[in-house]
Amino acid sequence: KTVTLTYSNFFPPTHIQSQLAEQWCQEVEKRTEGRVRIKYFAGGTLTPANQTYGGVLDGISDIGMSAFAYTRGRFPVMAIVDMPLGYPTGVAATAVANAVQAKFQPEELANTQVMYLHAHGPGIIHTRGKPVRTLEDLKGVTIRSTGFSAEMVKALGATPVAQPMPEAYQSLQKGVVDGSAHPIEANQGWKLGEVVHHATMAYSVGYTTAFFVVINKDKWNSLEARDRETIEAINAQWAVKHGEAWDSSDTEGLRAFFQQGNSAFGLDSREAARWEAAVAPMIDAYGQKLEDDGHNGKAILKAIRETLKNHR
Amino acid sequence: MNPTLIGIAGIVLMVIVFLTRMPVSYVMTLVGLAGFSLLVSTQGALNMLAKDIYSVFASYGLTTIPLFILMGQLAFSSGISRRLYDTAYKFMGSTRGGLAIATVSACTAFGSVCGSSPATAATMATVGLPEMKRFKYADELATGAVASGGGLGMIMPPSVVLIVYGVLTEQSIGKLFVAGIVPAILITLLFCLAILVWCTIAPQQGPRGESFSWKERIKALGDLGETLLVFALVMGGLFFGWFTPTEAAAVGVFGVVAVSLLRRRLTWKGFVAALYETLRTSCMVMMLIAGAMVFGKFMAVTRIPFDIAQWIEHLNLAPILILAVIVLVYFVGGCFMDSLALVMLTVPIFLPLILHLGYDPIWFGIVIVMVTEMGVITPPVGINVYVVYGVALGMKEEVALESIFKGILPFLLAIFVGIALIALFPQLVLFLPNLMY
Amino acid sequence: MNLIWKAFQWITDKAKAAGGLCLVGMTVLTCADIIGRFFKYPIFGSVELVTFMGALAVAFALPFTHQTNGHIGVELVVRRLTLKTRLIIHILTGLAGSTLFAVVAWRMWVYGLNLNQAGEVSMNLQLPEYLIVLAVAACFFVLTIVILRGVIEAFGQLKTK
Ligand code: NA
Ligand code: NA
Repeated sequence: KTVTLTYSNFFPPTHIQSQLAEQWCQEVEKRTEGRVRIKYFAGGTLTPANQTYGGVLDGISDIGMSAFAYTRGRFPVMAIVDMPLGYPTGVAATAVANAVQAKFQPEELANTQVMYLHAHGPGIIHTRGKPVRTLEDLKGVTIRSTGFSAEMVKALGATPVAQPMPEAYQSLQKGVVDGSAHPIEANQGWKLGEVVHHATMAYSVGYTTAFFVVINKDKWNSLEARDRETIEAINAQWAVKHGEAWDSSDTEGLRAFFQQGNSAFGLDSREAARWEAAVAPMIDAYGQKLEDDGHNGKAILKAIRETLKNHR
Repeated sequence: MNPTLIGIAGIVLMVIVFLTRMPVSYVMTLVGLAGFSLLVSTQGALNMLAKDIYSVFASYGLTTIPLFILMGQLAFSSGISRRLYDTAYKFMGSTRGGLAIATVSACTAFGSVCGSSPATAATMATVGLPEMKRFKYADELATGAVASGGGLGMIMPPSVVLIVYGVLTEQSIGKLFVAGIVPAILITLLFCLAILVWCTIAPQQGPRGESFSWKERIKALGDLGETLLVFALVMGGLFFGWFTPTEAAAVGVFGVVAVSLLRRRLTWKGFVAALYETLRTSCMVMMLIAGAMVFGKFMAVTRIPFDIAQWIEHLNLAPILILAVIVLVYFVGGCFMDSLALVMLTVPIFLPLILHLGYDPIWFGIVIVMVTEMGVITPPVGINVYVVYGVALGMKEEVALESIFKGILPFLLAIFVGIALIALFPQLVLFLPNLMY
Repeated sequence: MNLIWKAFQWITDKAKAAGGLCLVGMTVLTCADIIGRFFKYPIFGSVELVTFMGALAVAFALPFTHQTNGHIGVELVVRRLTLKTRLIIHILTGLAGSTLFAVVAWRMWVYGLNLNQAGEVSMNLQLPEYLIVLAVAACFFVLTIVILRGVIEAFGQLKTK
């Protein structure tokens, strides 16, 4: 018998992350010999980003891909992955996200079956007009950001302006904000390279956004055992592919960024350490908050840092 | 049952239920709910319904709508729009259809700062409809001009559709914006031409008024002093990037209130009435958008747009004919779906085909925006038409829905001509971006 | 029965006033944010607050917009029918409409409760957004009653005919 599932993804259909998801669907269909078929909907045409997880619970779609960060408070444990922990690459961030999920099995994800997670490469601050080389340069600079990246911006001494990604292009173009915190990839993917001038490659405080692919639990359990095994094998392969794709997107993004005649600055080790120190209280506070709420915040942070060490 | 058949049945059912005078937004929601539950699941459909409606209500991008409507309402109740049109009349009144021409041009100007087409239509309808009626313009012309003019807000940058297209197709949004300027002006000119021809054939639609000397005209302009200042602040502020569209609307409300208080034109009663009328119109517009969204979800899960796109991909036709078929698909699709959802579903499939045929992606983006612009004024799902109708009702200037649909015909024709011109002379679109980049 | 209608009329009127207040709030907050930004002190999260006020303004206007025929429908066919047929059609569509919005109110209420249970808060100010969802759900419930009232009144007219 064949089972037909629906898959909702908020990434636009031409985005590499969406194309990988679509290839995942085809791979599942092929390797289950057509017993599991998937109707794929990209670009939020089935559920918008902040309703994707709930949509999988509520039967709007059977499978969904979105970011933990779009539903703040729902994923307190996984949210710690998004902190500015100094992610060097998308591969590293993806490994961290999957490791945290596998090792700590957060309760917040218990009502669905996780397929795999992935996460983008380092999110950094981009500015218009004035370049940012030191913490002092950030004083009084307004930076478009959301959620945790807004907290990071604040911790670094700049002024966060909360605006969602789709508003970014127009806001930057018109100078409503002085800059934006986003992954390097977005300079190409969201065309932000056209409207910023400088990037501060502060890898020591690179943050990430972790994305999930989950399936409705009942639907998952209704699949034959051999198909579940097959899909799990595919998942392990695909998590890696997504991480690598984030890194190749970053390369593209950097190229697009420089093609616009923009400039990028690195931080010397002393300055990098200052930035790291500036965000440390925010990370520690979140770890402590998790401890207070009965999760192993400190153990998770330790595990993340160890995984990151292997990727340096 | 076959999803395509369910989709077609849904469209037919929707059109039939429209005829019962049940509110259009309720019908779209109801049919969308029924179709989605047939194709996905009842539980999924019920949850989708509540979440979609909430996400339309709680969308920052759409908060421009109530604020701009409020600005228009206040301009109306404090007599600002009356003075604006009195001045426009002194300049353009002696030309047949002159005020309609002024209105369409104002739509383009407004569209150059606002990215939403229902917001443009609602604002201009609030300001322009009662005034054009005051100067004895026929319903068809007056409403057709604001409903179609509203769509100009989408071609004229900034434009939400162009941003989505740019992100989808990896084209430079800046380039797309620049490319949109000439076509938007071209369509504006074609609209003006359509009005002139129309009023020559049927002079009673937009009667010729008296003419004024330049001295009187300049004096009228002078009377507008502080009003023009407010509009300059709103438009200039947007243009130079002091604020976003929602912020500009709020500044506009603030400015209009200040001007009216200064001139002692605004009473407390008038202010409250403007607030309530704004609520009514905004609620109507937002429910329409929510209904179109729910119905659009249903259309998405039928996969009809997807199937048609794939069908065209396998057609063996001359490039120009394939292009014509694609334009036709967008035109028909726009009759039943919101343009953004349609673009999202079909562009990824059409784009490789278009590139393969040797067309320029920037040029194609502009063609798509122009075609989807028709979608907002074509029945049965023609949001701008309903918005204008609703605004007219609210301002006690009742018009028949048929009059508006009749009124948009000349403008539809003008857009078709515009698309044909752009298809024949792609340089109209491309020369500006090529010059700048 | 009369008392119930009176109560809902009162709610409808008060909701309308609250909606007006939200519009004013949106304007004032946005202007304050712009002024603050000029002095490099933007109000953090103002976008979120304006969005919530916008959602509430529209929701508060639901009952009154329906009551004052603010939603548009196609009159083309209906106005050519006899009064009796029109009343029957009105009753049928009214029943369909009130059922629809009863379902919307119910599902939205459940949605709000789920958001709260999942611990979801707004992205930037971390406000309990579920309260807004519950308020919107309540507005849809009032709308349902207002539509039902129209149905019952039409039924009365039909009987006296
Ligand atoms: Na525009
Ligand atoms: Na249409």
